Amino acid sequence: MGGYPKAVVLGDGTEVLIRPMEEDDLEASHRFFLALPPEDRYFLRINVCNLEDVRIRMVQADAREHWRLAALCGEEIIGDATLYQARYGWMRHTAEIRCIVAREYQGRGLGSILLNELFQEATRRKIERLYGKVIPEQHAALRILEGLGFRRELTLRDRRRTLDGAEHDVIVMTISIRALWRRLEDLMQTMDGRGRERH
Amino acid sequence: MVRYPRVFKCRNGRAVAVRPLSADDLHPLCEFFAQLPDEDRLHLRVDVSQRDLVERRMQPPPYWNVLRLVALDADRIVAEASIEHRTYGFESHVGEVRLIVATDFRRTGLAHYLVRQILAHGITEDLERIEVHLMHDQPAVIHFFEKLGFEKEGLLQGFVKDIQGNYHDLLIMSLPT
Repeated sequence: MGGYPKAVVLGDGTEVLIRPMEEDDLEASHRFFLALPPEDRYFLRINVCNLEDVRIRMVQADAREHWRLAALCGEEIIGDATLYQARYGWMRHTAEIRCIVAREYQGRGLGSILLNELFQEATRRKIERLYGKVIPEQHAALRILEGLGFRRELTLRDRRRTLDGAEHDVIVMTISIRALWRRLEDLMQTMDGRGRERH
Repeated sequence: MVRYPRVFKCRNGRAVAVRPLSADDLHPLCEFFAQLPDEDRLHLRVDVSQRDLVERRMQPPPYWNVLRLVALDADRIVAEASIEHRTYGFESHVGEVRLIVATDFRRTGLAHYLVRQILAHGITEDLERIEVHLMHDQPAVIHFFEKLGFEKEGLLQGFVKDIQGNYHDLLIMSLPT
């Protein structure tokens, strides 16, 4: 299962522990969400200020369907990444990726490390296609996924309603796992990895 | 609040009883699926030839609200229609409709009746966006939903893998509100 917990060092020397999310992480997870800037929380799919919503999300994290990782610095959660694969049915060969990183850790390589963990798990599960759901205003997420080769395949009108009652389109971005690994190999050749696994 | 069972007179002359699926319906439901043509089963979301999957699918997932109606001709289930939505989060206003009708009850008005019933339920649940997900190579079904006012929103290529391992594009249609 990827050898968790896994210690990684970010490019700036920060030590981070990555391990599966556990039900005992509820309060730490809630603190993590509360510490996000409102603009980062705005487009998430639940009201993360509400402990009950966070709890529902946590108990739903069936290891077979929701494979969820926490990144920790000390006791605090600084990143949350999920691979969602339906347990049965016609879309079992696909999986959704979700990744949230604390504001002060954005741009430091943690998101790439977490995404890479999701991609490794997806490959292990023989997933064939990955998708991410993004709101058009989530410019950074769009840029990251497009940089990885995901393409905007479908826009669902007014599918997400935010806390203020506003409705937003949802863009479904997709890639085949093969195309993703080709893209990652290309990227590896042109840039240094910012996070290194510690042995 | 709608009271069930309700009786619907189909254009084939049969009067069917429509009511929510109950836990006792596993056997007739499996029979219903077994009598579908192979091609129909290929287009379904789960492999309904597997009794355990049929049983699992009868249970709503936690924190989902599901109304699953069945139409019965005497003791035989001849159609199933459902609407489901999350009970939490920022997509709880989105409902998804599913519909399966036995071949001898198609073009009898039953499918329309069932969809109207579950859409009415969707309104009572304050759903504001109704979706249907289906394989793109089902022109008759697409036409049926278009007649009800659903519009095509787009395709996800290769997102459906049927029980024979063949890939299909997933079409998402929605009903403007």
